[in-house]
Amino acid sequence: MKLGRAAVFLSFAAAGCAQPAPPPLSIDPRVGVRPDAGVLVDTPLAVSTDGHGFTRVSIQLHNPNRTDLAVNCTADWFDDLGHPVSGLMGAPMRVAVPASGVEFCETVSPSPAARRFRVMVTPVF
Amino acid sequence: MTVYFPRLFCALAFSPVLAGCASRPQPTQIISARTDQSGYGMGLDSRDFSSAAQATVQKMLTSGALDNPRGGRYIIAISNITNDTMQRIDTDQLIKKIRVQLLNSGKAAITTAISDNGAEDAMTMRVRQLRKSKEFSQRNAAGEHEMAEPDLSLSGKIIQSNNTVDNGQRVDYAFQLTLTDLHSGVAIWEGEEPLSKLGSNGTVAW
Repeated sequence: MKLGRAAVFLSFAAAGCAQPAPPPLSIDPRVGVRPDAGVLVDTPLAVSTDGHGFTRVSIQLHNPNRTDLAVNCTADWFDDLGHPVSGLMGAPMRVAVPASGVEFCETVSPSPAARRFRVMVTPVF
Repeated sequence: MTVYFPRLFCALAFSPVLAGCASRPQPTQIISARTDQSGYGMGLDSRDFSSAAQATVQKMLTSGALDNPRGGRYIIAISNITNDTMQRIDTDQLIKKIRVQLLNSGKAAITTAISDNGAEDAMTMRVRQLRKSKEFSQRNAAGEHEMAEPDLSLSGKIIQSNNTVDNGQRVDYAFQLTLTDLHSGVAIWEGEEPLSKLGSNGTVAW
């Protein structure tokens, strides 16, 4: 009887282990997604630099849930030496991602000197 | 004394309970724009202006409208920015953010010598009245034809419309901005940032 219970328990445990692991929130180190934001980042990111040195970034956010989600995208820009380049572009951008849909979070470097970036996606409560 | 003791006891026992039920005032806090999770009202607040300014500057920079074919920065004059909302708004809440970012971008500079309401900084003209003053050394005197004439003009409007919906109200805002080439009078860039809010009738948008 005990062996039977143990077998049932182990079968459930094995079934649990067999479930596919959830996809990573973001595999690009330049984009951080807080786990409770509920959105996934599609990669690769669209990053381009125009003829005047401004870097433009488009991040595609995917909402796998059945409800609409609102998130804030906050970009940090840095120069080549790693010093932060502050400005209006560092203000949080509110993005509404429809259920089972995608939306883009877009940011532009505040100046040609700002070439490195980091974007954080956080939930809006 | 024994008759009144239960009443006194009850009063003392319930007073903390009643005090706990009373709403406590919001303590004063410093809000950081990066971590601001406070609720939204139906009116416009600094987050709305930041979002609109940010989106506007991004579109201006990526449109190429500020790429001066002669090289260098464009000089922009601030024209009329109309507040067509039911709120008392200083339009500099929007425009100043745009100005700062455009200046930092290296693409444009704003003249304060002329605007829709005359000079934003009257000192530029006042120092020129000192050219013949014997009280001032003329070593650093501003010369004639030194002031930069603006190439572009930035004008705009903030619009609000209120509508009643099923169980509340909907307020639609639009931040409209135009860059006009002052040589030709042609608008070389136009942008509109919509913002809509849905809330209860208990909140007001003015």
